[in-house]
Amino acid sequence: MKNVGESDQPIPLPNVSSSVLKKVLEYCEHHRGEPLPAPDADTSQDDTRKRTTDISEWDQKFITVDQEMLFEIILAANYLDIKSLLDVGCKTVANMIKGKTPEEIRKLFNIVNDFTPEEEVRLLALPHSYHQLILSFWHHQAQIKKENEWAEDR
Amino acid sequence: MYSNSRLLIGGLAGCRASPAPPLSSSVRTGSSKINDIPTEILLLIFSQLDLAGTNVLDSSAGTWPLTKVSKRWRSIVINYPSFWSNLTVDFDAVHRSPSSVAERAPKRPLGQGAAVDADVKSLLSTYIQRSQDLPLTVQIRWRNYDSFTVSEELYDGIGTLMSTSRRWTSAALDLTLMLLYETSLVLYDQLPLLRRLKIKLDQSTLTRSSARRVGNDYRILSTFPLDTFQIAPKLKRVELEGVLLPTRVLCLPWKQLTHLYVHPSVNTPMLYDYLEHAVNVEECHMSWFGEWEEDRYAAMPLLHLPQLTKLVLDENAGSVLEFLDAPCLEVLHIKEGERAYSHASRAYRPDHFSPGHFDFPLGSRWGFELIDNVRLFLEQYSVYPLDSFRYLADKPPRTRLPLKELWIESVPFSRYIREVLFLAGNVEKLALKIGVSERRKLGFEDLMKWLKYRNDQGREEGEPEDEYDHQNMDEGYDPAEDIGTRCFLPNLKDFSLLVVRQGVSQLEGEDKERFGFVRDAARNVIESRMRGKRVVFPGPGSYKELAKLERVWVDVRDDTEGTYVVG
Repeated sequence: MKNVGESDQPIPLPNVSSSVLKKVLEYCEHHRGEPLPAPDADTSQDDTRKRTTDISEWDQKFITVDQEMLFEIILAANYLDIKSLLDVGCKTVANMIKGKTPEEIRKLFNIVNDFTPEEEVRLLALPHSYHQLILSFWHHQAQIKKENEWAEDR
Repeated sequence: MYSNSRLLIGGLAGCRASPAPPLSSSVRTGSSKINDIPTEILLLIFSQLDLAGTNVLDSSAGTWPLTKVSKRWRSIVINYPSFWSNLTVDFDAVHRSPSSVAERAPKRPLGQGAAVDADVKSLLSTYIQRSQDLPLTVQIRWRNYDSFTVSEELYDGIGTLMSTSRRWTSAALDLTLMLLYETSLVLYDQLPLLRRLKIKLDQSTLTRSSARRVGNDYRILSTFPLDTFQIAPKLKRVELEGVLLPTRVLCLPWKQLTHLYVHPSVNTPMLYDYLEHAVNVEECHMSWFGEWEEDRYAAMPLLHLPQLTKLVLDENAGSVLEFLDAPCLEVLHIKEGERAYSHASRAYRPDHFSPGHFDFPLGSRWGFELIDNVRLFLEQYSVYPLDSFRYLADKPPRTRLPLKELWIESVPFSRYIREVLFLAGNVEKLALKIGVSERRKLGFEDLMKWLKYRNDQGREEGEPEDEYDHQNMDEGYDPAEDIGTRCFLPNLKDFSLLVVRQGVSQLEGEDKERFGFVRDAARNVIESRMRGKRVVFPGPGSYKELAKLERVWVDVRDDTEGTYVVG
């Protein structure tokens, strides 16, 4: 609510449903009195800053909701300018994405693959030939076997 | 790959300019909520992925998969250069194609996205192109490098990478000695933005090659010093890890450095050498294994480091204090304990460090020194590693330590900690991480007693005069030290204590509860210091106000946890 400032006037929340607002209030109630996060300016400066996807235990429990609610919370936190909640939401989604293949990500979030088959072939295929890949694989296997035999002999 | 990507980017650019196609709009109103998330929030989510550190050459990791989910994601990720400004390039993970494998097998299994030689250049070119003209953070690892078996494609790849050096702000090079030398030829006068540099020379990179080649490496280096990094006008932070090179070989803009981190893997005596040159260093972290030769530095001149304010000494590096004159030193952090022991035993396993590994003809005098030091260390390690705290207690620094902060990590508990605290009478912040077992109970209680506020008679409040049990004091304890000194660390305002209880796992029930002394002793210290007291100090008319504790943090690991916050 950057542009609202101090005011007694009611604040319209057309984009936030009551169930989401309830969740947001629960979060704010729990974190009441905590210092505000440091301004963004510092983060680019401090190279050693831990960009972590760690989330506190309470926050983790709080954010264990279905996907729809999760994204609603993120949108509400963004609209209401609650940086820490937005952070928790984004970290949660980031954790869901981490380590997944494009196909798994699509499945997880129900994203339609809108690449044409030609685009996909160009995009996903490794630049070297399939034949070369297979050759490399068998060569590698042979080497491992050789090494194992050598180790056994020793 | 590169040209394909360019085609795609071109295609996508066209898509963005025209109204959204029917497919896209149906997706947006479809079942997935993530499609309603505005681009700026998706960017926030992607930036939380911590993409730094994933190998650029692995097309199944890091930023690459995000470009293959949907056109929207691809467009967002490709057009945000920050996602491409962190290059971690692990050449060791490159699966060598059969033609290039002449001598040895690849060290890693073929992963789903592992690149082969032919990919390297295209992956790097695409990545670098997407970073646009942003400053780059670069990490290069290539420990398996062997100039005899490297393919043209790999050379092209590293050439592409090196051509970006004018944009590097931070570089971490984990290379063989020979490759470090080769790359440095290309980088000469090409590092105008470089602020941080890390050079890691792993022990394995010296022992892997044949004796003849390693010998050549050193011969070359002793003739041609590594002077590339000397011309880096913005270089302020340097981290040296593994095998250390002496300053006559490794030429850096030493006087320019403000932060120096030195973590050797072998007992090479470079700490004095480095600090002698880095005269303007403000923060310094040093590790040290093995024992220092007795009085090695006693006869050497003190090193005057007028800018040094923070010093972190790991393992056995405490003896650095013997030759430092640091009049502005505010923070001292000494770490020592189990970690030092386990680290040493891991790094110096006999099989890892058999003399055979060093049985090669080295051309330079320094090479012989290295071998001697390793042997020296092995002999000493079999006896006992040095205790920094004992060392400091026996040989207090030749100069004063005007410390404001003192951090001590000692697991297990060293009975010499108290003597080290003597060196830092003015500290305002004290952080102790100590291991306490039943066997060390007396030592711990003694330390806590020492930290308590005492009245003008040198006794704790309510304590009868004869309560001190001097027989329980450590050997070498001199009660005379206490006479006339009423209270230690009078300026202490911030006290953190982390007690790691050792040997608890074997205890049960009442025995476990016996560790309550830890909590009680800590509470006594805190309560006695919570009030402002006027304390008499030796010397005519020297009065000092006992500082009131403003912040206290106490944690006992494993079992009891208590946090005290004094308002």
